[in-house]
Amino acid sequence: MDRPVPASLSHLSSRLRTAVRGQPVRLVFVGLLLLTASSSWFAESESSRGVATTAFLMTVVALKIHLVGMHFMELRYAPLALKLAFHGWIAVVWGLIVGFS
Amino acid sequence: MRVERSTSAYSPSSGTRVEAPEPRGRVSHVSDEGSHAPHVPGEVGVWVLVLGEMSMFGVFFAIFMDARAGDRELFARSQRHLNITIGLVNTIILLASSLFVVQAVQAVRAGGFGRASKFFTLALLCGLGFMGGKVLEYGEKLHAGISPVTDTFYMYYYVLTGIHALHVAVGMCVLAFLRKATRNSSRHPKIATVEACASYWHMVDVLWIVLFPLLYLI
Repeated sequence: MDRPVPASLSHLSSRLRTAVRGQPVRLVFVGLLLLTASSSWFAESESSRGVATTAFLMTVVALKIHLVGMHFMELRYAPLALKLAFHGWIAVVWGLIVGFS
Repeated sequence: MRVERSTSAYSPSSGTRVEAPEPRGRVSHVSDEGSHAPHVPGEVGVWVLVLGEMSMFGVFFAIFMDARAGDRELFARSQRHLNITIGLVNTIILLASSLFVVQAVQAVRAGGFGRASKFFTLALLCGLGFMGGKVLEYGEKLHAGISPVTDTFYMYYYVLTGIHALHVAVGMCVLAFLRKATRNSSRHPKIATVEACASYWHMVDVLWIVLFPLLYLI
């Protein structure tokens, strides 16, 4: 059954859509801040420094670098070879750090 | 106001590159609406430098993790003395600087060189803030008697953060150049030059995104 969307929610959704269309980099920036804060909070609350913790933190790092590369460095418009080289570096660094931990 | 780029435009209808003069104040392959043709941001040469620097740091990360695997207890004990708050604030400062640089590049594309200069100034201030945090952190450690010769962890800590800080300093010189170039009303920089310089600054941010958890969290 369809429910009417509250006016404030509809307004928020509309503003979010406008923000994404007009300045997606600002949304990416907010996402990067949230990922940074949440991973720091997770690392501080987690007493063990096992492989699983390292793998989780490095996955967040990989996601953050992907966002910076694609949206800030504008690699989403780059040729495939450059995108592959950049993401290959992310994968190698993830593998090295998790592998040695 | 003039934005120059030496590359060709891309024709979606024919799927081929068409040599065409760039319109004044705009870059044909990157419109405000977000329709983009494939291109290397900046210059190919700067990406050789960026990927080369990233590979060099990749080797440093591997050497650090190998040393850590040799003495986990020492690394964990020494890591507890690091100030996570300063590291976290520095991460936020560098992310903000990257956002300002993106907005400056967008302003240059739109022909708004005055706005671009303001964003480059903000990014430069963020760089100064990062360096200030680093000086504060080093001072705090040295005051507590923790130096590069204290133990293996701190040797790596000072070397890795020191080399990164050197890259931040180079990046700040690049930002200062862009700020000056965009303020100069008689001779504006080429968009490819602005993109290349911006890519270098983002690389500095990318390297810190790995260094922060590597040294402070993991």
